[in-house]
Amino acid sequence: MKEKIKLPQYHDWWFDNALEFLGYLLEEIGVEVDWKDGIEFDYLDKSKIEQLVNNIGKLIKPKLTYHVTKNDGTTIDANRAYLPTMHKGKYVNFLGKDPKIKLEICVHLLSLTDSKKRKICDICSDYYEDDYKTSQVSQTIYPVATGSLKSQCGVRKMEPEYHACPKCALLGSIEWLDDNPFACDTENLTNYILFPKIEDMYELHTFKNELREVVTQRRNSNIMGDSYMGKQGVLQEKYARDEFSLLLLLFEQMKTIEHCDEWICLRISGTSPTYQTRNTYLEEIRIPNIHSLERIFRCIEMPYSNLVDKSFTKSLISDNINYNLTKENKYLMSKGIIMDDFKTFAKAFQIRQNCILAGMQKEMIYPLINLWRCKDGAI
Amino acid sequence: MVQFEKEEMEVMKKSGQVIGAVADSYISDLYQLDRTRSAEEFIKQLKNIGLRAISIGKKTEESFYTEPLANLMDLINKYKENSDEIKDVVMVYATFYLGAIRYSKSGDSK
Repeated sequence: MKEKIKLPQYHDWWFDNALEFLGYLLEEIGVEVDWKDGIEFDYLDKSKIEQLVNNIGKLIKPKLTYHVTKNDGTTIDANRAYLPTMHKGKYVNFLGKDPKIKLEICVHLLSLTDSKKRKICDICSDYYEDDYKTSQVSQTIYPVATGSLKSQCGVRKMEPEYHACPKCALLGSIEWLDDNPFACDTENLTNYILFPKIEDMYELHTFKNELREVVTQRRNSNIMGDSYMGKQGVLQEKYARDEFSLLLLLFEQMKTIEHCDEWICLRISGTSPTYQTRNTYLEEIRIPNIHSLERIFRCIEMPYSNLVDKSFTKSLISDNINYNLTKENKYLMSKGIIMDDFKTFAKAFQIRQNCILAGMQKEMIYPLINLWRCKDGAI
Repeated sequence: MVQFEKEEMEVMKKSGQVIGAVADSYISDLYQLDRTRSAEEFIKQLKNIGLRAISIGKKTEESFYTEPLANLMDLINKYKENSDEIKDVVMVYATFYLGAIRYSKSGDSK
């Protein structure tokens, strides 16, 4: 009987998603994966591991860079500076290793050989030996990890450095290449990445496969709305600028939405490419009433694209559009719809700074309010 | 969250339209309505808006039908504990209607 490799579930939003991503990559190269409390698969031969490492390597460029057209018309690949995957212009940890060493790490991890292991991993509590210098936990491995500076760790007497085994380092590093919905608000230098929070690994895998069908990698987001002709005759694509709008736009494009009502939003702010430590914040989005949200999607066609995104906020005095309030009101409306909170939704309609919300059609807003507030939801 | 009857929704929608139309000339009335913190204050401001609607009707050719506002006051008395929720719905309708009037006006001028 063939021996099997089992990587147990972490019960953590980041590493469970990473484990699912590794399972997905393995399935892509024809390995049969058993999704039960983690992932389990047959012992891999060297050619399969080589294929896996190659596939990971191929994802680095499209996922961690984007095309920029310069003034002279030439196109260059710019790094996504807001992601903590680089330090001083070079990829760090597993992502920055030479393909040969990457292969060695994977061969070592995905084999059953047991070497002398002395250290304990701070993440999974397994014994390990740091042969590949990947053990220091940075934001590359776990985005909300504190830095190595004591002054940044809050409690100065606490141990500022954590260490991880090569398996956790590999999983943490490759999760940046996964297809999680993201949106960049370039004006505020804030970036949002959403992670589904599903305990059952098979359910998570099925849901993420549905998600992968929807995502289209672009410069500022991978969930794109309608495109429109810009002022200079260039086709512009619309995308969400905050976490709730991103979620609403995502639901709009998915076939079913009832499978996932818990999400983790990772907010990364600051884009300075020279510092490795970014400001990362974690927020849990627990959708209180997914069935009522589903009803809204059933009865109202594309509530984000046709209602929220079409709105704008303009000054009552000068008639100019207030872009900051427009963005804030879109956030409030999306949050209200997703969190089933009419008060937050109504806040967007409040006249503030002498500006008023406009641009919506009554064919969209009246049915939405009726559906939300009327006893039998009659439209 | 209170779920209203279909007729009650209609009352709130029609009141919102009257309030929005009045706010087109007197925006401060809408601000004051938004600032109310109790059912009594809300009803008081609705009465002011009703009077304002009648005076606008006398000055201009446009006439206002203020019955929805009277029905809205009855509705507020019925849901006294949840008058805040009625205010939210009415404010959404009123602002939406005002936005539609202003936007169509600026669209015409262009």
